Amino acid sequence: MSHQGTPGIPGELDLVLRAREGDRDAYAELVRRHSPRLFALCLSMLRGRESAEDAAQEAFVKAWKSLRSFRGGSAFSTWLHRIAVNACQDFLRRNSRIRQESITEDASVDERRLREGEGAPGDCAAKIESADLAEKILARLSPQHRLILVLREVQGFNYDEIAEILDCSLDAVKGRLKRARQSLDENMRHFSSRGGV
Amino acid sequence: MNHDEFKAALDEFHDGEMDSSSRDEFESHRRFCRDCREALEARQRTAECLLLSASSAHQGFDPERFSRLVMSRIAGEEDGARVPPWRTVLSWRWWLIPAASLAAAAIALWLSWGPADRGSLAADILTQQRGGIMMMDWLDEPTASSIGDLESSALAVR
Ligand SMILES: [Zn+2]
Repeated sequence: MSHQGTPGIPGELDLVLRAREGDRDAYAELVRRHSPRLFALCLSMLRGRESAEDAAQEAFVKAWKSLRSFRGGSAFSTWLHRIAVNACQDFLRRNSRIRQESITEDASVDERRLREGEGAPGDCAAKIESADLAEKILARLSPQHRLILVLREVQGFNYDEIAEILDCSLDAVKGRLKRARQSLDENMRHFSSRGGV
Repeated sequence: MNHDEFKAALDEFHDGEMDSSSRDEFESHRRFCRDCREALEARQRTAECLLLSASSAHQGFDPERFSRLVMSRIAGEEDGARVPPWRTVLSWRWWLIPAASLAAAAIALWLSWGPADRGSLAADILTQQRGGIMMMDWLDEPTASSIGDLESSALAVR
């Protein structure tokens, strides 16, 4: 992350400091820079583009209001993602039609499925080649599983950052990631055994 | 590290969270361990599936438009909350509660202290209440008394 910025282009830290002082133009630039990633994260959890945009907007408005509490101990992006995850959780809680899932998953069920899945070496999922099929497969995962997979594989956050975003321990990150990958792998196998239908 | 330990640490290797010496060990182990190699390939496929799905996420997303929407929401909330004091005083809502209280007090005074002929509204209200009682006279004796019983039992319940 560039704090200093290149000549003519303000760095992130400079923008954050200005935004903290109430500079709306600086904050608008931060929104422009971070919104594609935040929108992708919200979309991964909520699936609908309209809902994802609403939640992402909500997150940016909340972030603006609590900018003064941002101490810079973590990267601005990590801090923003944490706010966005909370906005999505709120959205899921408010909308009962979307499957609501507690942050604390039923680990015992997942562990059992994990052990069952490990007993089938060689029965590998085929490579998924179309974005539509990838979408279908991901739609079968829980929002929490999609979230942690996207944070790691798409957004590229490391374990420490994910722990900060999800407000959980490092061990919890490892456990959730393992279960989410297992679930994704099972779904990929399911779709490849059905010939990609 | 043996095979089971490597297998358990597969995610750390895939995610680049393994220290360099363990990483070197794993690299040499997977060269002759088909099981670990296949498990790593499966991780790679799940990652590709996620990236493929995410590739369409940004289609049609315009950061410029999105930023404008966010900033107008912020402006709407903040500027709406900062109404100048003179506008608050001139606002009809500001006057509504005292005006309603004054009107209620005036009506109460007018009803209780006004001359009998000006208290026709109060008289009308009283007539309507009595009308309810007089209706009882139109009903036959047992029905009227049972309604009276019902009313008194309802009062007892309350
Ligand atoms: Zn092995």
